[in-house]
Amino acid sequence: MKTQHPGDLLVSLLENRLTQSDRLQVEAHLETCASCREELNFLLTVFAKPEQASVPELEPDSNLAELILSGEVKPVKASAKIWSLSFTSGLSAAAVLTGVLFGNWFYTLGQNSQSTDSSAIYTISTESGTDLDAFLNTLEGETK
Amino acid sequence: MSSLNPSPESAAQFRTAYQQHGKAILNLAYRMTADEATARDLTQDIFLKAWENLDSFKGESAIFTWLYRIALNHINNYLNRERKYQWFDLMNEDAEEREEPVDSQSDWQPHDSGRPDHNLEKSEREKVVMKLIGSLPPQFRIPLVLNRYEDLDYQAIADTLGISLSNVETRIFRAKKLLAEKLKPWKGHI
Repeated sequence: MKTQHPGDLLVSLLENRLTQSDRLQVEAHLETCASCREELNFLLTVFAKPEQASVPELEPDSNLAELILSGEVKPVKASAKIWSLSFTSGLSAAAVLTGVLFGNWFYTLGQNSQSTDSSAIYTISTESGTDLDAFLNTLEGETK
Repeated sequence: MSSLNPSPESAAQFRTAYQQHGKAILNLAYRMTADEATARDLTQDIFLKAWENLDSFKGESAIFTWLYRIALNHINNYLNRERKYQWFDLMNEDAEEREEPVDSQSDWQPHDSGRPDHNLEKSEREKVVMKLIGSLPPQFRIPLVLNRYEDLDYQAIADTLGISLSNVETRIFRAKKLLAEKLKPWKGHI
């Protein structure tokens, strides 16, 4: 433990979630490791409950109650946002599907043209095979 | 409750509730979502719902407790629905990132000034922490926000959310672990 940094065990230490032996090891490590002490202090600072004054606060709309009472406000955008997100999701899914279909079509097209090409290669290789046979025969004749 | 012909008593009760607790509810929504526009939209929905259901408020608990419960349910539902679409949201974010110039998204990026006097002030640090908390999954975010900003102890959170005490402890522990991970790039800056 002295050489190995405890990493996220520091959070466990702060939350009292370590066994006795692990806690002792982490504490022993902290005595010798300045960077882990620094990390622990950093976590202590950010996990501490913030002072009220430092927490960002919003001011409510002064006329919201009146708008609701007058019936001018409908159930809103937060839900509408979700619906618009679903619409976007639908569009995205359609786009992905179209992409897949086109991709598949192009792939099939590619395969077909490739199979034509491969038959050409086969013909060539047969021809060159014939050449090779002739060459070997010549060579055989020479050695004889 | 009809919003067209409200009784003067109900309207007065509603106005008072909004004046006294509107800010608390708005800021609860803000801390849960880390987004001002969404928080305002949610607050509008919450108070609209409260107005429509004011008849069901029996006065057995304080009106704030009643409003707070409506708010938590509404926010919780919103966050869970939002989560379902997170994948698509990420796709949109990726697209936006590609379109936006790098400078415009530097708000939440740690900037290495190399000078200790550039450390952020406490409120700036809190903005960063709040934003990062807002990016945690709702099941971890909600209890952490209630503990950190609403000052509820673990037992009160368990009662509010209707989950066990050990569940609250585990969720807050997981939330802090995730938060510690997200805070790593900020070490030395905040």
